[in-house]
Amino acid sequence: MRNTLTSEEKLVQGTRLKAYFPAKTGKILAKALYVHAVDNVDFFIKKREVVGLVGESGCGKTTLGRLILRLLEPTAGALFFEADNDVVKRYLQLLDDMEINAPRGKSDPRLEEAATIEKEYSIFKYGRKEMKKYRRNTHIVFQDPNSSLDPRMLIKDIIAEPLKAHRYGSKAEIYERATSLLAACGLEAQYMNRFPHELSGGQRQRVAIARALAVSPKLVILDEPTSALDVSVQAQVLNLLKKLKKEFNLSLLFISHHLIVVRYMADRILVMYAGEVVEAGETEEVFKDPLHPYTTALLSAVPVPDAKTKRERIILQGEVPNLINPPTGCRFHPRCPQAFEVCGWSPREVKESFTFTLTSGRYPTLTSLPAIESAVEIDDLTFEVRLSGDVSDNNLAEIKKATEREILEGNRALKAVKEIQVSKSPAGSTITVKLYAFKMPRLTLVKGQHTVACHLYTEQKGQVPILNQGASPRQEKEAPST
Amino acid sequence: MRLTQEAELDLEKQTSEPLLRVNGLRVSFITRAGRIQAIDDVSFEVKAGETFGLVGETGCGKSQTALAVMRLTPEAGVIERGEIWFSGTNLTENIAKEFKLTQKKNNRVKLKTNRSMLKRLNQKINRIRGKEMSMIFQEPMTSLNPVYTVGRQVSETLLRHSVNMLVDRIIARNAATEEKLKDITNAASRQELSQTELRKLLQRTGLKELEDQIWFILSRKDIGATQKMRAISNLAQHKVKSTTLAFLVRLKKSNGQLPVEYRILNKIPIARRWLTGAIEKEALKVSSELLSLVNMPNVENVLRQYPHELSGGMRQRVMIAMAIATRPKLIIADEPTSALDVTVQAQILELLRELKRTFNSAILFISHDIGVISEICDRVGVMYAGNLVEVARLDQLFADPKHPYTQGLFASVPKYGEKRELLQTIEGTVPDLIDPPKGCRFRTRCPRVHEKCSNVPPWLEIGREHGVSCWLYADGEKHVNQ
Amino acid sequence: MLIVGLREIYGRKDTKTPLSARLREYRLTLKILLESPSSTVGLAIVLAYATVAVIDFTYPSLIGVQNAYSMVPDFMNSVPAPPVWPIHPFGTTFPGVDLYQAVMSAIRVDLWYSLMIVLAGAAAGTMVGVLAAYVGGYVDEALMRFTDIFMSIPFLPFAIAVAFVLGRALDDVSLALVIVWWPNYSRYAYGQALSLKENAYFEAARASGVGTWGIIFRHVIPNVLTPTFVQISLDLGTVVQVFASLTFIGFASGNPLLPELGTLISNGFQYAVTAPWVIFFPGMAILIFSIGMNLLGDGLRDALDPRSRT
Repeated sequence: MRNTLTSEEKLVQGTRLKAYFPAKTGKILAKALYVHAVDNVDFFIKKREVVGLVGESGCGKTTLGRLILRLLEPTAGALFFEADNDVVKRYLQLLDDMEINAPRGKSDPRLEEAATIEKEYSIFKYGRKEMKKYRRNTHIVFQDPNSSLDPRMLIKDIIAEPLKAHRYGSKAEIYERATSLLAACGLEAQYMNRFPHELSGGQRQRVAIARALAVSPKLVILDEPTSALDVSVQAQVLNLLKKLKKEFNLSLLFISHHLIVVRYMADRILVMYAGEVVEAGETEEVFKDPLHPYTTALLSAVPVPDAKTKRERIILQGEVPNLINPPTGCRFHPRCPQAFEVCGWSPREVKESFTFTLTSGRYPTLTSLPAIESAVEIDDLTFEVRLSGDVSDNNLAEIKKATEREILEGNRALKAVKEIQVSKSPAGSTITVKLYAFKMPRLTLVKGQHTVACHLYTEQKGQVPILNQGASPRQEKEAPST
Repeated sequence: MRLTQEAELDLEKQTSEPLLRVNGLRVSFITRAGRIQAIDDVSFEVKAGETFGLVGETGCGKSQTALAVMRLTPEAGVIERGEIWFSGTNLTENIAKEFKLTQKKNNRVKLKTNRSMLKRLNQKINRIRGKEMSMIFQEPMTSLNPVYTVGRQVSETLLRHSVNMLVDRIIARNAATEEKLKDITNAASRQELSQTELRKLLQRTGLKELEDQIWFILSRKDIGATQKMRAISNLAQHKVKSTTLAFLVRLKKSNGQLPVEYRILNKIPIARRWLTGAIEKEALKVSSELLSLVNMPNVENVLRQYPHELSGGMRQRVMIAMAIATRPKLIIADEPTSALDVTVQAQILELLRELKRTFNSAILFISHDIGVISEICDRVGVMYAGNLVEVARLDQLFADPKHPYTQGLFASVPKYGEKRELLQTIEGTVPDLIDPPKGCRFRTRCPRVHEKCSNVPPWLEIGREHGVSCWLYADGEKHVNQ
Repeated sequence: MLIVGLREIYGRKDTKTPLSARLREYRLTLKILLESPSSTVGLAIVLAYATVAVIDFTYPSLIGVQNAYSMVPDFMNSVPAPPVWPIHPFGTTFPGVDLYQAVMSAIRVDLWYSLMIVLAGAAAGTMVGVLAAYVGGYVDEALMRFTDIFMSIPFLPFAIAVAFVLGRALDDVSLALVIVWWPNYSRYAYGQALSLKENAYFEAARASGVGTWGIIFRHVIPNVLTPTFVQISLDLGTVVQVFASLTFIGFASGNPLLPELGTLISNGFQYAVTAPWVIFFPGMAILIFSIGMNLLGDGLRDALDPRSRT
């Protein structure tokens, strides 16, 4: 199920974008590891709209911005700019189809057709000339005003650079346009003959904006444009951006980690986490009714300058995941307060939780268990715990009860436990734990234009508790009678 | 000398005297471009146990104020005037003698510092800095030494200031036996012990120095009750060699100073190891306790890791652990969360609030983010261009900001709930501090400026604990003379 | 005309033209240089030498040099004579050459060759380093290994080898030195360019549609040039010494009467004990220049450091 808005024309559309970068491990013969910076992202930007891209550091929003401008090459995926909507729809259709029925070898006609579409429309297949034309339609404003302007160039040359590169006109025309652009950004002509270090941070950012608008692009990417500025200067720059958007008829991609600023600026918003888009929709809609647990936590973590309202704070445990080895399944599941069975619990995670339950001492009935020798993952869905003594049936029942208890108390990893069995082994006993299979969450339309990639909205929660195996599945998670 | 909780409470009770008092502080920087009047006549107080926030934009002088309190003003800076009283000690006793400013022609000033006075100052203040007053910096990557492990850096603080505490702990553990500890384990397993009850129990058995260690074990959240009991009993197992014990007892008798007999050994590198080995190991143990106090995951591993192997949030936790190691009376936090992601920021602020409750330290919290300030501060001071323009309790400040700058600042921040067309901005930019406006420094941008403003406005108390420096409130209000 | 020019440089305080903006920057550099006594001394020394070289080239008689391109031997009085003011202010050296005139002209010759060597080496090396840093990938590896190979060549055996193949003229010596010297610049420019790559203005230029070569010439090189310039000034002092050492050993047999500091020293070497002035004056000429250039180079490095400019 993909987002397909047919009514308005889309300016930019990105499909299945992946950007993996090789990670240096420092070992000579180690297996090649990749940082999965952007993983399977779809998005679009309409004409004359402001799209906000929010997320924390490492979520891939900066990388995505660079991909749109082809300042980085993607590992996979396509980007369509001002392409015919029908063509893009057909392309997506082909991709969906190939996912369901895998392609039969290299000469599969679907593959060929998709490749032809890519070659003609995707910017990643553009040659030099077409790329230059594309660069006339897009530009970017960076976060750090200090390093985004060449310190050895005069302001007027900085703004004139894109004009010269695209052969705008004669020298006089170029500098005249530069002056008028500066004026539009609120700086007087006297700044033309200055060096960047003679200007303040806010002024430099205005110069960067003037440069971005020089060739009248259709799309401008703003990568945290005000994060390095003071609050009062930020207000001035944001107001300026709003004014310029109207004046120049721009589409903007506003990348920021500052949610309140994004809410102020954006019509639509995309929330990214660990390289994936987890939620997308109209700004007001997402803010009023956040669907993804990460969005909810993000919104509640924003410090609000208001002494009165004490909101319900969701403090997430843990840190943003390592993108070289991201969590399996939904990348948010280790920190998600509402994670359940199908969210992607790996045997390793559940094994840790399980052994901790057995040895924590919180369950006095388990103290009689023999010592644990080892806990080993067998395959993607199973792990074994080897003990040095016998485990009676009574013990097994106690273990199951303890697991249930833990789940009730909020231990989410154990929700993935499907089955616990005990077998005797020469050295003692082995507890075999089988897990539920997990699925990858996909961006699905929930209502209106609001999409979210979360199993809470697509899967049934609360599978059968292990004690009552054989009974019919229930809708809501209820407390089992113990 | 370790400050027990009772002594701290005593201090609070006898306080009409604030913990930190800054009076008429003026700090200037002598640079090639001129004399930057970074801080001009700033006065405020911080009471014991309260969190005082300093908020303002870049260049307002808030960070320099914090550094001045620690007497860490950079080389080119000089405290020209003012007093800084901390816990009854005057930190600016001889500032007039510490430097000499000579006026040269064409308005340039030459700065000459009196090195021997500074040396004396450092000797006096090194006993306070790091011990009763500690600091958390903004950029944890550059504030932690990259060539030392985390464990070593946290231990460094302890070895410098809390040797007596470490020695006490070792001696107490040696004196403990399983039987003596049995009372405690029995009492603890029966019900939840509070810290005061634990202390009473310990006093009865003469093991009061063990309080920290036992309390730490009891408050751990990752092990079960039986394991806790076992850990407490195990305390009696960790003994040191008799020779080391004798040395430590001797050390304690001479109150932390190295006794004469051992001084020669101290000079020989390997022999010194023998002397200090036990203390260093103890410091490492205390470090691990501190790290779990700041909710660091995987404490044992982290102790052995280097700063670059940790994430931003974890590094900041290390800094906080170092700051609370000696149970300081005042913690100065200079933008501790500005470099962190929003969700990590929420975690750190929650941690700071928790620590505030546990240790009752006063915090001087500096930030440019009004939202963050409103999360953690009791009272707030607003700074602009080197002046303190308004001080109030948090709720007062948000309910009724008096100074036009404060009002402008609040208005220019995008609000969480509303969606306005344009943000309100403060006209103009922050003035150049080499040649600031005469009189009220805000008058070049103030929407309510009038003739009186060309004179320096007095500090006025306009409510209980609400002060402002503005001529608008000068008629009929109580003046407080400088 | 000079006075008008100077007034222009110091007078322009406005911000209307790009020239005035750049002049402001140079004025600031000069001001910072003059604040430090050692750099001022260095600057004075270097300026003095440069003036001598220029005058020797244009109006040699201004400083009392008769023949700027060749030493004039006097075989009648070939034994070195002590300094006599005003005929022979530095004395004479073997074979009867007036030392003062010889040294003045030699300064010009040495300066010229050293400048050529350093500039050639800097140009080649910087280009290689910048290309390697900016393009990256295989080109990076290849170019930097190439640089490493050249860096491992010991200069003296190499100079001898070149002399064997090409001859012992001064130009061949210079070539040998350039070949040995350029890898330093390559490494240096490589490091500089790599750290500059972190700056956003490169990506901004790409987003503006500027091609790879445009970026290299308009953004990378100008920003690498400033630190390279400092390196050049420091190297000049060293190269003069090296060059003189080589000629002392015996290169440059092409024209034995070409005034050159190393040659002068080797000419008078046998008389050193009895007539010390013979090696004193040429030696001091080299020494003072090296010191001056080093001081100036250090001063420039501090002056051009962006941190000390505000």
